[in-house]
Amino acid sequence: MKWIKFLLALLLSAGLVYLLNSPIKQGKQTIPPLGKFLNPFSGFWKNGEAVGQHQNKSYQFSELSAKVDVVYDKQLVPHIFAQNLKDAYFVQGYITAKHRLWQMDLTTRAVSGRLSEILGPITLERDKLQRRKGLVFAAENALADWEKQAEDYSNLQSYTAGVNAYIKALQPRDYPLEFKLLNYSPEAWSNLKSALFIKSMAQSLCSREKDLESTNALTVFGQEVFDFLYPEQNPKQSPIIPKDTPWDFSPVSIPEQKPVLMGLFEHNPYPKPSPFLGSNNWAVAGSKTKSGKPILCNDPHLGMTLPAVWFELQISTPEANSYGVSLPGFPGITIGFNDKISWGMTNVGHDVLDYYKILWTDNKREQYIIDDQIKKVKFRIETYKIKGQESVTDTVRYTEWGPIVYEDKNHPMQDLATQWLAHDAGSNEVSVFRKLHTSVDFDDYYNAVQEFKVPPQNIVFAGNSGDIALKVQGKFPLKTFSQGRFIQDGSNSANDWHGYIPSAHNPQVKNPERGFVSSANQHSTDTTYPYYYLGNFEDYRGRTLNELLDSMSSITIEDMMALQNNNYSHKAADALPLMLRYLDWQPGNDLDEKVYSGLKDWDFHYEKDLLAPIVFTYWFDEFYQLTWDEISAKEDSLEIELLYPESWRTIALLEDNPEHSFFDNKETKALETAREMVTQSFLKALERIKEDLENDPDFNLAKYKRTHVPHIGRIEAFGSTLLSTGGDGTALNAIKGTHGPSWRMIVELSDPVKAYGVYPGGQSGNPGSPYYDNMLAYWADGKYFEKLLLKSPDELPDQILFEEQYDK
Amino acid sequence: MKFLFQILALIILGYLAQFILPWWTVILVAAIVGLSMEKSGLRAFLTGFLGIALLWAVFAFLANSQNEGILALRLEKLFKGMSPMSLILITALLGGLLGGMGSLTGNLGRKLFKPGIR
Repeated sequence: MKWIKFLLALLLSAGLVYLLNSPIKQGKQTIPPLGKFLNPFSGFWKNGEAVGQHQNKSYQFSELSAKVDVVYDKQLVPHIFAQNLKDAYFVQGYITAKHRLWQMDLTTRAVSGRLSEILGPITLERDKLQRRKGLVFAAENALADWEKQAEDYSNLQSYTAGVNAYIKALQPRDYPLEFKLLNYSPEAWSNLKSALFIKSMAQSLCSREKDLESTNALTVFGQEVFDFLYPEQNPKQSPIIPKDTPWDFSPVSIPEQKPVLMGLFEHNPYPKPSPFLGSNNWAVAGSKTKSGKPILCNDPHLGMTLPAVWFELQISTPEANSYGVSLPGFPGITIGFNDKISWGMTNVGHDVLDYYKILWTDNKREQYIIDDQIKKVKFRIETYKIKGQESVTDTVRYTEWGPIVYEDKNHPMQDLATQWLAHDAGSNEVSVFRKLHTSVDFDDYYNAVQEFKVPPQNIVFAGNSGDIALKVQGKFPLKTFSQGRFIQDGSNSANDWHGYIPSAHNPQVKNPERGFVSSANQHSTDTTYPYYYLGNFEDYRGRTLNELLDSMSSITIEDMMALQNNNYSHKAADALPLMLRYLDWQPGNDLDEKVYSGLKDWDFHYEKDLLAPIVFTYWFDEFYQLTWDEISAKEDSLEIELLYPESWRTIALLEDNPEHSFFDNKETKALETAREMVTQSFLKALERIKEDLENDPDFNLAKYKRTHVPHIGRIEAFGSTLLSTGGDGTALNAIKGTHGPSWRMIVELSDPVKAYGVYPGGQSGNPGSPYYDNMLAYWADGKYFEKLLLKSPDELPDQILFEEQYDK
Repeated sequence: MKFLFQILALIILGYLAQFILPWWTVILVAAIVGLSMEKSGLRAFLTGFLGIALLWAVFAFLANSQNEGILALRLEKLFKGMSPMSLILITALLGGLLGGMGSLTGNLGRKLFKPGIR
């Protein structure tokens, strides 16, 4: 009896431990092991940081060559003082891991198709697509290049060693919260993961194309209508390189090649890359500023997340002292300044991803033909470990063009090969940021950015000697006219890119007469640029920016802050007066009158407490849909996807051709013109806004926008609450939902340099830290923090929270 | 007196064990303390329960108050309305169960060799 009692208790105890150490499946969700997660010694309670308690610490690492001092300022920004860059990168890796380890793990898993290892079969299709797109292939190619550059490679290895030094010392109780929630352990960092990080940026920034929609549209509508609907250049644009800038080089000539249409591409719609991401940067010369010194500004617009996209830091070595934001997973400062120069980036929209139709020898699809020659497919086997399941493998066919991403019979892109710049070899991103750190003038900057190849960026520059400059930097394929706009014939080698535009021929400008350089994702050049390029370009922010900068003088830092937060929309200014002119309608009651006069008196600024910008947004959407109903009708009847005209084209049509037959609603017998379209769409918009106001009488733009910053792993509780902001994708303050200015920076190159910045988040990646989102409210209100470029660790002791020493 | 001493032993040993060993070793600590108890099974269970529940509750409470509730409030959203206080209670309850079962098992183990009361 005693034995039975004892054994029963023993069994129950063991069962209890087992139960509390196992995850619980509940439908699609998995609850972490309760005992493991809740116990206050190694569970989640350990992740709650003690508020206001900071301790000085010292560490020893044999990897270091000398002592490194780090002081943290009040925003938890580490200021790293090292004797050389290699040591500085080691400590950068260590500190970044300390604050952002889970983010680093998740980001590299997501890009390399390894989410299923931690999340199970639910993410398998996503994982497969990432690898089929060749993201790992691309990172491996980049790393092979980096390995050839001895100094930079050893710097990269030092960063990796720093991250791993942190990971190695971790006890389960120290794991970041998300590891505990998802019940897995951190794995070692690697150089490849840093390369994956760069490729993840390339995927978000330079993988947009419209090859299939364009091919279908040209096939369905014919050349004349196609050219009418989809012109590549907006006559009203204000390009990055000022109009009529002479080109002081003789262009490389390439053979002409007429595009051959490869037929209609039918079947299921497919998901396109995330919405347009934009950015602004500019530099004004001393002639236009109050201080007489140049001011540089940059606000890269990205998908905003918590933990934040950027990690802020200062790196000081005997030869230079720089400050700015870094990508958590890559050494160096990506956007920032030192005491002599400043640099910033916006995305270049050039299309660098093209599709080719493959001519197979037979339906085994192991051999294909280029120029009558038989080529063999290379097979790349991808293996996926899956949590709670057996591993699976997937085979990707690689042609000379690139990988075949889609093999699913129902996919419209089935069997097309991808040629993508990010797969290409030949860059050394590590060196770019090493060289920028020590750059003292224009020549240094120019030399440093040469190696930056992908994703192409508009890299702006200002130096304290007074120079300002901007280079459209990247590796750009040499293309014949229209090449890459449509799906091309992959059996003809003449359709290959004709090499690359020489870097010296990239669009660039230095000290222009107008006294400023700027970019906001618009066209790089006017039509006189001797090389063909197409892509996704923004048509409104660039014009606003250039007009405002042109009109400004005696510019101060406060003026620049106001400009970054400017909510004026050129789209609204272009379209609304026309729409009001053609509107054939009279207000019938007080509410009508309120909506109508709100629109009429609106100054085209997307301010957060207004109603008019919402009404305009609804109205333009409805007008756009009504105008292009021919296209959606064709899409439905032919079961294909078609290209839609850009919004500026729609506005231009309303302005120049209000009687055009495209305004006719094909479903009615009557012949409609712009007047009817404008009026019909207004009535629909009015319905929508009335419904909003019925639900909430205080409805306004901020409520409509629902600006918020989601958690990077989509755990809602770790995302931000709704933020009250204005702004619009077409305004300089390009806040839209969960996209927006991911870092606002303003640098005046005076002596000493003055800098301000803010980003939507905080330095810590830990949801249990007060520094997880402490800058968010400042960002939403358009406020800034002054940035401290410290000369030594003990320069401003009252600004310092605590210090760390890293010794060898 | 003995009771208080046992509770104290549970708290100190439990704290030390979990500081260096995996979290579940707390049940072994409770078993060892249970082994030294001459009382009834129920008493052993209650002592173990109380000792470890107290240990876990105090540490969870301290962690939460030093953190000014930042993390617990986030978890309140994650676990749909589980307030910081109820999280502390659940933590204590789980610790208590482990402590109680460990102590009971140890106590019953003792009785296999040393017949005590009943």
